[in-house]
Amino acid sequence: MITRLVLTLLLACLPLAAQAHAFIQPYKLPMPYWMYIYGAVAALVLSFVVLALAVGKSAPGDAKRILFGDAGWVNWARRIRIKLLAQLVTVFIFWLCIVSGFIGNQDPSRNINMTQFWVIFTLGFAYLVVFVGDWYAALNPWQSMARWVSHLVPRINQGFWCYPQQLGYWPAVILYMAFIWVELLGNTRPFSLSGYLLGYTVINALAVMAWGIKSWFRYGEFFAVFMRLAALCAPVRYDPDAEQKADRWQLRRPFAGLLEVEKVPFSLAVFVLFMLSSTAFDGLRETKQWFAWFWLDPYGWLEALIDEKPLYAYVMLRPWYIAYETTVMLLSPFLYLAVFVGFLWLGKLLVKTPLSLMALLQRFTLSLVPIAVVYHATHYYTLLFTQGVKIRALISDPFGWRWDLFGTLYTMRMPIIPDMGNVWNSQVVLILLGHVASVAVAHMVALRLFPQQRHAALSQLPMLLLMMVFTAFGLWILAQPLQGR
Amino acid sequence: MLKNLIVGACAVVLLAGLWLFLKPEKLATQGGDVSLSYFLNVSNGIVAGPEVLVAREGYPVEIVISSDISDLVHLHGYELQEPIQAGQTITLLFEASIAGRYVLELENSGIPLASLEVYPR
Repeated sequence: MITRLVLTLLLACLPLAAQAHAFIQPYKLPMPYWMYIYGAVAALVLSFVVLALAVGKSAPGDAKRILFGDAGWVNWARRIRIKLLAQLVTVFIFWLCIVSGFIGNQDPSRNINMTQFWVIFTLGFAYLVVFVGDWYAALNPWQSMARWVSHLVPRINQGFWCYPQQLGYWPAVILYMAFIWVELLGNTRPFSLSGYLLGYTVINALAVMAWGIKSWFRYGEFFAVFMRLAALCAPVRYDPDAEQKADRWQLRRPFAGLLEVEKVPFSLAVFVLFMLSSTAFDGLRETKQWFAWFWLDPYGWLEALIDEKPLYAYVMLRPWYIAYETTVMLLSPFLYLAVFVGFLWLGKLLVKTPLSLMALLQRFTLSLVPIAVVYHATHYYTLLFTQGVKIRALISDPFGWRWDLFGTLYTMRMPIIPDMGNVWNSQVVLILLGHVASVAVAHMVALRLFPQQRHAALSQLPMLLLMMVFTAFGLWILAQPLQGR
Repeated sequence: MLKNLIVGACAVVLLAGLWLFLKPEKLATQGGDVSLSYFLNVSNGIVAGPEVLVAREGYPVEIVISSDISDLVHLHGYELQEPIQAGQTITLLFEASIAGRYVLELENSGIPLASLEVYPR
């Protein structure tokens, strides 16, 4: 009882997980237990449905595509230079975010930069690519600015040095980890967010000078890598570098993009696994169990070290707690990697393929992208309603100075709160959709790799189990009681 | 084609049946007792009282708050705001009309008082 009381009192002093998003108050309730069970069983049923439908199928050929890069309306958009216009708008909004953070109101809910960056950009725009394709490849503000500067300094197109191939996507992995750390543990405010954005701009500028625009935005700028991966799920393919105008825009089957890439480098596999593990980590750290694992010290490890109950040594242990969270976050993709490789190894044993584990990892990793995308969406999409809608008021008063530029200052100030039942249902449906897509993609990859259908099906049994584990874990996190205050 | 249709139809029937089988008559309220009246006390920046205030959608909730500092009590989501003076006790009385999880805090000092969890009917 005393422990509970002390925990209650101390937790009042702790920065909440919710404060990671600083100004955002997540309003979702834990999913009812029966829905979690239903989701897990339904995933199992649907897995067998996918397998049953796939039996007898041969490896997929090139998916049907409809090219529309030369369509009348696309040419019209080109004529009025809509891309340049959109780039100018994007770059303007980007700098508005930076300036407003430095000189504007420091109340996170009244300064446009927090809502614009954390909600509209990192959530809304990321989900947009899943539907409309990689728009970010055209409108990336850092890339746009680099391209404009390259007209004055052509050298930055190629950079001063060749990009070292052994670096692969590691710069993007490291920057993505830093971003998630800032998001979850950085407790950002408008001013610090602007500082981070400016710092990231400097990193991008230096890297572009060193290795050139094309290499850096392919391997290093992590938003570009993230959006490109998510866009592989989209029914629209946008390739700004295609030689033929007609090829730049294509319609394809949803998730077909995941089959267009034959294999990925190891560093990109880690990036994909971090997409998955970072969301799971964020969900996990909002739960009661997460706090209990550290502060209640169920195994007595901390007490043995410091000779008193962790709850009574809060001030001393607070940096330890941050270190503990940081360590788990950094290790999480490698933990997922170990599990993933373990299941690939089982598949390898079953079909006795001469392909190495690395070769299998490189070919099957992208099949995890749908699960990663739906994990992300189920955790965060409601923020678009509860906080994202406030952007309408904020564009009239970006600095929080009580301006009313467009007459919208007093509109949409109340959050839109979706019905909780609908939220739970949508979470289950989204996770199941992602699960089915991942199982189907993995199966198609297997059909390509193993000409014999029996081998393809056998190799997929461990993979199916793995997808079940990831799906059930994702649902389980959504069903956990959350921390108190 | 016929095989696909049969497999698809079986899956739909199975999933629907499973849903009906598992779905309880009424959603159970998670998180302990459903009490509709709560008391919170703020003293030296420390909050005494339950961390989670559980309520059921459609029912009234009463939250009594006392504080040793002057501030503004803010219930997010419901957007209820009530000034509180040092040493004073105030009462928030409202219908839990929106399901969800909302933060109750002292707005100016940023002290979180509790989370209100309103479960759907």
